[in-house]
Amino acid sequence: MRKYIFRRVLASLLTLFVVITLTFFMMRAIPGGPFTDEKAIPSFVLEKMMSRYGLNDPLYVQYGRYLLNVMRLDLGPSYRYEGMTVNELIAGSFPISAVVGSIALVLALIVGIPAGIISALKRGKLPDRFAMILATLGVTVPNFVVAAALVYIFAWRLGWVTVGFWEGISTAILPAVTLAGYPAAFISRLVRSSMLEVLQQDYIRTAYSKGLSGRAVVYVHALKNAVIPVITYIAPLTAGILTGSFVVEQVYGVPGLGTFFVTSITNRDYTTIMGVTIFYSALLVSFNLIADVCLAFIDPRIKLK
Amino acid sequence: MSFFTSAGEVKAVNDVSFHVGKGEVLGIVGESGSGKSAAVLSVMGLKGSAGKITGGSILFDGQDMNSLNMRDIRGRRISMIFQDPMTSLNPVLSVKYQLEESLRRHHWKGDIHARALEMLERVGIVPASERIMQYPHEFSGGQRQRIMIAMAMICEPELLIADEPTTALDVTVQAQILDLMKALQKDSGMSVILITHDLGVIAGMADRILVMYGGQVMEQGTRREIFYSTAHPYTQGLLRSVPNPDSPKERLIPIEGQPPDLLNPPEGCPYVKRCPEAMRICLHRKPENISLSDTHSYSCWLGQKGVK
Amino acid sequence: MYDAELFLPLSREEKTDAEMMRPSRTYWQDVRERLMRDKLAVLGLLVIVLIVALAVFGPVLSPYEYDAQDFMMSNEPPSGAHWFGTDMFGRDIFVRVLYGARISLAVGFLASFISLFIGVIYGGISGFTGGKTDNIMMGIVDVIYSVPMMIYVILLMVVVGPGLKSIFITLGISYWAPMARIVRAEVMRLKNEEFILAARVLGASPGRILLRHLIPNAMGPILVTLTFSIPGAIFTEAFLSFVGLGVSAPMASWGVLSSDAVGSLAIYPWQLFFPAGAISITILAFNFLGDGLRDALDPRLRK
Ligand SMILES: Nc1ncnc2c1ncn2[C@@H]1O[C@H](COP(=O)(O)OP(=O)(O)O)[C@@H](O)[C@H]1O
Ligand SMILES: [Mg+2]
Repeated sequence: MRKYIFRRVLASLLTLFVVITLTFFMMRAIPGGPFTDEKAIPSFVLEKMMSRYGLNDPLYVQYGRYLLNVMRLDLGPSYRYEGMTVNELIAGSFPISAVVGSIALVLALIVGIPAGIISALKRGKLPDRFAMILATLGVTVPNFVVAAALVYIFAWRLGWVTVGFWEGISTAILPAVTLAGYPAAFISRLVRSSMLEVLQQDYIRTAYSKGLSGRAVVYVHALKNAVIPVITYIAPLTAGILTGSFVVEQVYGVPGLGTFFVTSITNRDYTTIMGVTIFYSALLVSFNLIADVCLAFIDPRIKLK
Repeated sequence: MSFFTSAGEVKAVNDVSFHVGKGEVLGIVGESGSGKSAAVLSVMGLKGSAGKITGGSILFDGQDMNSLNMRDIRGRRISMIFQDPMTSLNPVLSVKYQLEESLRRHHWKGDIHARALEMLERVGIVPASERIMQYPHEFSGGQRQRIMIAMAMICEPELLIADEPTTALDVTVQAQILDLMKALQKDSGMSVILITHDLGVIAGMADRILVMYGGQVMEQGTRREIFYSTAHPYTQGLLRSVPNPDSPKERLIPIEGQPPDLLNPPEGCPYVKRCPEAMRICLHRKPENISLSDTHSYSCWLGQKGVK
Repeated sequence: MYDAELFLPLSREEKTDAEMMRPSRTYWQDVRERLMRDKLAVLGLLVIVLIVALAVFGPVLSPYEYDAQDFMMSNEPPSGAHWFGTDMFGRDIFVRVLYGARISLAVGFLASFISLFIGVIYGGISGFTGGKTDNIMMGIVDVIYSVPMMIYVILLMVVVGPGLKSIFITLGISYWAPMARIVRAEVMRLKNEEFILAARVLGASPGRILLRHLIPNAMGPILVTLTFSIPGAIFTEAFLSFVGLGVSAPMASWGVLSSDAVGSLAIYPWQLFFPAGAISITILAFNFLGDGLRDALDPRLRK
């Protein structure tokens, strides 16, 4: 078990290393320097900025320095927000996204898993049909469409909520619901198909042959096996919530990291783009790691591999 | 009983009637697909969502099973072990959990953990106190079948149904499992229904034997009667295709052809297409049951050949 | 009691079954029949055909140009003249949505085919070679899998700059990993089958075995993956356009149209409704088709 976790941690670090390297060289591959499109900068100012950010050093020196800094959890200064570090910028906006994202993830799990179970147990019947139509819509309708529709209905038509201002939890609900849509739909489809698969297994028949009630069979014997693929998908689902936040935050006017990321793209704030990318990747890799560890606890066969 | 599939109704078991006495071992033999599992699964009430009992009755201890709560019977008074030990145990639950679950379900009086350990030891999984904490993937196929047996017998059932318990195992392991089952049966005095497609397996264990084909009973009788006064051509065919330990040099003769398609069951005798003695009448009319003794009967037109 | 006639032995001919000689059908005939029985899949297919036809012929038939501005007619609601209304420049939204369909579908198909191409070759080589090469190649795929793809697509778009061509390239080189995994798994499964061994014994070259025998036999899963990756690419393009990294004006994909309409959502909701509806219906149709195809190819998953 310890060895397994150790290996997973190692693999995560390797992934992060690849991500940092990729990000660094991709940013350097952009034609022109980071200040190119500012026409009015006099050349001596530009020169000063270049040397201040160490951009005149050879590429490998810059790369080594960046790598070291990232290892010290320092993502460097922002090129656009004078005097601010990328760390500070992330620290300022990420908590808001984290609140919205966590609500969304919890919502997705508590809606998606029961919906998938009920669907599987009532296969082909009305609840199944209904849930699967909803789920199919959930995975197909883009989240910015859902966001816009909800804003139109709840803010403009009904006037129940305001959008565009961040007022804490109350303004988090609609964005969270929007973000939860896709993962909830995805989870319910996943749980349904994996539940159907598990219910056909021999050990389910064994469980019935012991005189267990349908409920005990489903919730103890089947569910524990059926959630295994769901856990494997936790990381991609989190990724969905994160990237979803780019547009959803924009539509709702939530001043989170998603909005901030999109703004830094439009501003060509390269260090910030780089820093946020690495931050997101680290987040995802951690979720992957957590999922792998959970999996090892639920599925005893994993320790063997 | 029938399975209702997208291709139509599969009449898996037809007019099958049998009984098991207290402390008796009944063997059910037949090729795969002959409806052996379907027959016993309907006894257990475990035919699955596609299966339906379309007629008939099942008596247990003199009571109609329909009037009993099957959930209290299953695992307590009637238990079952299955063909494939590799897939019959839940991979994510410990052996301890899976053993003790039955005891808890049926309100075992006494120490649950001690009972689980005792059963595990009795089926030869040692050291029980260590191995009970492990998960199914840590055991070999034979060991898993032993665990299945321990699990089935843990509540001291009156009837044990073993559906091809050794088919998926190596020959040497097969013999060990059969010996174990025999010993446990002797000790506990329970009744056993042993299903197999291998007459060799049944020869050493069954008191009485039921021969099934195409969802119907071809012949039934005591072990002596089936082996020494074989009446049905299908049983004869089966015997010829099994190695005989007394005369190992004898040539084995396989039964040619395939079992009938139970989606469109034949009008007459299900065995007609493969029977060396087949007659015109076998094509269109079901043979009647002919009794040769109190215990021995078979269904074949040959028996009526001379009767005018 | 019985007629003695009945007890005459049967001849061999009487014993052989007419039923046993049922005509056998090919796998793909079976698949097609199962697919055609799936109402949702057929509906999806019809909708896709309809949308493709509209994208190809629609703009030609419309009296309006997609970039013709008419300030007298700006922000008109849907009417007989402008079925979907007009935008803030007085451009006809109907023809813009049809024109957007060209871009979105082109992105969907082309990007998917690029990733199909890369994925099939990569996965094919990896699975066919096996051993160390396979380990390394799949290790790379594993790393790619754990990189948050959408963020990298955004980054790549920042690097290559916005525009239609960038989108093709970016999506094509980003999303081949799932295809590679599936092709590899299929090739691994198939390569020890008898017909492949036979081809080897007969001296067929590895390349030929891969292209002529292995890949055609892995067609089912490849097709399913492709069907799901097309709407994935359409969605990603819409998403990129929405955050401002898509195609540039006056060209307009569905994502651009939606993005433009969000600002005035409170007053002119139809400007969002139509392009958003078009995206949703298209993605839905591909998903129905993909689900049906998967079930048709794997009957075990159904009852
Ligand atoms: N779940 C099922 N659905 C449809 N048909 C089934 C099902 N299970 C068994 N059958 C059919 O019922 C017949 C008897 O099967 P079974 O009882 O499993 O035979 P045996 O145990 O003797 O090998 C076979 O023709 C088989 O195809
Ligand atoms: Mg069976």
